[in-house]
Amino acid sequence: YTVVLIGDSAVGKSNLLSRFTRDEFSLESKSTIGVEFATRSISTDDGKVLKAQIWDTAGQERYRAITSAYYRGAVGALLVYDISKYETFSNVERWLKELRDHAENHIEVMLVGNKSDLRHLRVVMTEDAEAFAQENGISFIETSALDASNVEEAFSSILTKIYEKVSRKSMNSDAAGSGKTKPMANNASKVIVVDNENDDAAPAKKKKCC
Amino acid sequence: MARVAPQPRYMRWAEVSGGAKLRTLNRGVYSALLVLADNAIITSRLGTALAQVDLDVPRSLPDEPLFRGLDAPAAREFLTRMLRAWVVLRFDVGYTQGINSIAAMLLWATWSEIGFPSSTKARAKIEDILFWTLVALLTFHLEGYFTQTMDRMKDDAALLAAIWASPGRALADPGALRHADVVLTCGKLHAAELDPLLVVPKWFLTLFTHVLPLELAAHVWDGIIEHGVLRLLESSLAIASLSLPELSQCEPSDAIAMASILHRPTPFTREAFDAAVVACALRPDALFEAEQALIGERARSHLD
Repeated sequence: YTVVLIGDSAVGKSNLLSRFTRDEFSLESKSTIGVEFATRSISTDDGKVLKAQIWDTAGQERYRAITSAYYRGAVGALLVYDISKYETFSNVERWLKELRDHAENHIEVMLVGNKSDLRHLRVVMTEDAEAFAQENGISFIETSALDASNVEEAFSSILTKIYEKVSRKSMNSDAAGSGKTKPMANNASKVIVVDNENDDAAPAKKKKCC
Repeated sequence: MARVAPQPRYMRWAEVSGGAKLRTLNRGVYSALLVLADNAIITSRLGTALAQVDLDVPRSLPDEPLFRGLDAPAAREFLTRMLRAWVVLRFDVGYTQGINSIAAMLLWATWSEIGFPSSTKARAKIEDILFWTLVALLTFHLEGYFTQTMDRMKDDAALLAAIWASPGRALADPGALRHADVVLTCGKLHAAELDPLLVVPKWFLTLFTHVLPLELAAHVWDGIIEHGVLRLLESSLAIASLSLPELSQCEPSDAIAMASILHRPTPFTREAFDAAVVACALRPDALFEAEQALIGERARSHLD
């Protein structure tokens, strides 16, 4: 599965990624230019191994000129803001629009309030973010890449949701005999490769499309 | 007989890039820009860019001793001033992440040869020189890379992909044995349908400072500053072809694995790079033709 990390500059996207894939954190890391990749596999409750490829993107607004290339083919997005900077939260709406414009229709989105360790600096209330997420039909979690709280949960929760969605969709399309066609058969629509350990129960039959 | 000391790299870069000339033409302008950058009206207009500068200065080459050690606070102030002055001078372009790393590299290259300037006067002079070198690089060499739409960077990324698709048409001496690795590398990247935008921004917008050890990046800069954007493309091909052994280990269709390798190429020597860049020599007119084709394509897509 390809999951993209998006959100304003300096909200901690790269550190969420490094915490999740390498268990590392650094207070002053280089700003991300373009995109970075990392992978990690997790196991689901029913024993499946999900391989996640995570794309970490540049947050500065003008990088949207190129980042739209990174949304195509992504099945999940972690939309990150900083709980100690209100502006990063008010920009969430614009990021959602970016996703609507450039990502696939059924992308699974999770709103992530990062830097939850900065309790004394909090300006975005959990309830507000929760309400916003509910309104927009996306899930929500607060994390801290610094003290590692909820990082694992955020990624595994979105991956599990994607897995369930894909399983359901693939069963439905098997039944109806028609799957959703991809908008374009170009190389950017990377897909959905599930490393299946129990092949007999495998609902996901999709292969790399290109 | 007295031996002439070799010119420090930052002076050479200033002269070759055109920065030294800009500086002569613009005496006193740098300090005026810094005054303007503190003006309330200006800061309210350019607030977003200036705020981004403040966010990024601590994240500019943060692993380097220059930005970690005793000189770090002064080095960061130095960098902040250069970037603020840039934002005021080129408010039409503004600030794009990557410029901070390029500016930091200018300071790093200076520092690694002559140390951090100790006196205020020496510091001010070097800062003035480095600032105009930055302006020259971003204006003469990388014009259009850092704009809101990044059009030229995208065009040059597309050019690179066009070379991957048919290296024979672009290489200076197609068929020559020394091109063998380059042609093979291009073939692999093209066959994997690697989207150049997965790699090129990191390469071009930081001028390789996020990609290579800085000493090596400085060596690559020597060529780019002297020969311009053609050498930027040749250097990109050279770096990719030096990664051929690692690229060959990837699944032929695994573009992401290849992109990851190109993000962090296995270190190579200056000599290996010099040989590779010779092997990657491009026909300037081939690039012109490719550019024309690209312009035509864009015009057609506008008409459609």
